[in-house]
Amino acid sequence: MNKQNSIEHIHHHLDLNEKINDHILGWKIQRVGWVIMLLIILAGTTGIYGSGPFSYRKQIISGNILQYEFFLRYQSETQIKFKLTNQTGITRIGIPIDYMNSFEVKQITPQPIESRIANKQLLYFFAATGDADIEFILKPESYLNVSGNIMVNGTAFPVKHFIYP
Amino acid sequence: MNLVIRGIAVYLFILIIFRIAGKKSLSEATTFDFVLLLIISEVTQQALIGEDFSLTASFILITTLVGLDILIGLIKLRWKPFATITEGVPLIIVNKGEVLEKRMQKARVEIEDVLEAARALHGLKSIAEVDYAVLEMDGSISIIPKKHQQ
Repeated sequence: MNKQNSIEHIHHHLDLNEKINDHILGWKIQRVGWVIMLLIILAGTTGIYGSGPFSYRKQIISGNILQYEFFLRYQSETQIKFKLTNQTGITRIGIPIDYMNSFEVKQITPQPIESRIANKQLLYFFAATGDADIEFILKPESYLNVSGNIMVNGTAFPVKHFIYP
Repeated sequence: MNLVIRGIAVYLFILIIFRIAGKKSLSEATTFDFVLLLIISEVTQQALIGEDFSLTASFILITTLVGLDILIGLIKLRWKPFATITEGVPLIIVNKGEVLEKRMQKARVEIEDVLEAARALHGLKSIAEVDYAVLEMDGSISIIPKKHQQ
């Protein structure tokens, strides 16, 4: 006996059209919906919607590390961390203006000693010697794909994001 | 994102998620369910307005949500299958005194729920006194007692 047959088909005297076949179809769709809900929860846990292991990206170039998140959510703050080594006085970080148009800068730690615009880049200068950790807190202000090359002392770190609405 | 699009997206998402959750979720509202609804409304509110706390934004969103509700109501009225999809249809769970266990299992209703409705609505003592029990579209259970009980 299959599942559909196991549901009782009845005759009744109520003025009611219960459409049992619609119920059976509805229960099937409901189960599919539960599976989809479970998948959404799993995706949320693992970082498919941001803030999780699948979202974190790390780039290491010449001993310098850039950490950021690939999946972002609209207006949900994110961190871009630079872990730099062997700095010799002034560290220069250049971020493309096109890239920065998709974000609002909430905080930079430590504060740059100088910032200016040149060659379609926002340039930030930091006083740093030896190892230096620099952190940008950004708030996404656009959707979907955002990418750009962040320059650290002339070295390009390609960065890509997908921003959910 | 545009306020109207946000309003429509949230309305449709809530419509779908509560339809998937099933009737049971509304039939047995406990204190916890009530608190859960408050949390859901708080989360929804933030997604709807974002950082826009203006009166205009609230007027636009209220108009969008109420307007959409009227539109959905009109579609339900004119096209019955849509009403079936969005609201479901009543389900008989006790038929002429016989408890329909498979149906109750699928609808996630327990015999205790039927007995509770029977006691509350008609003062009945046992399932034997129930002629029909119907799980209504809003998740409540209607009881029709056997004739000699009425």
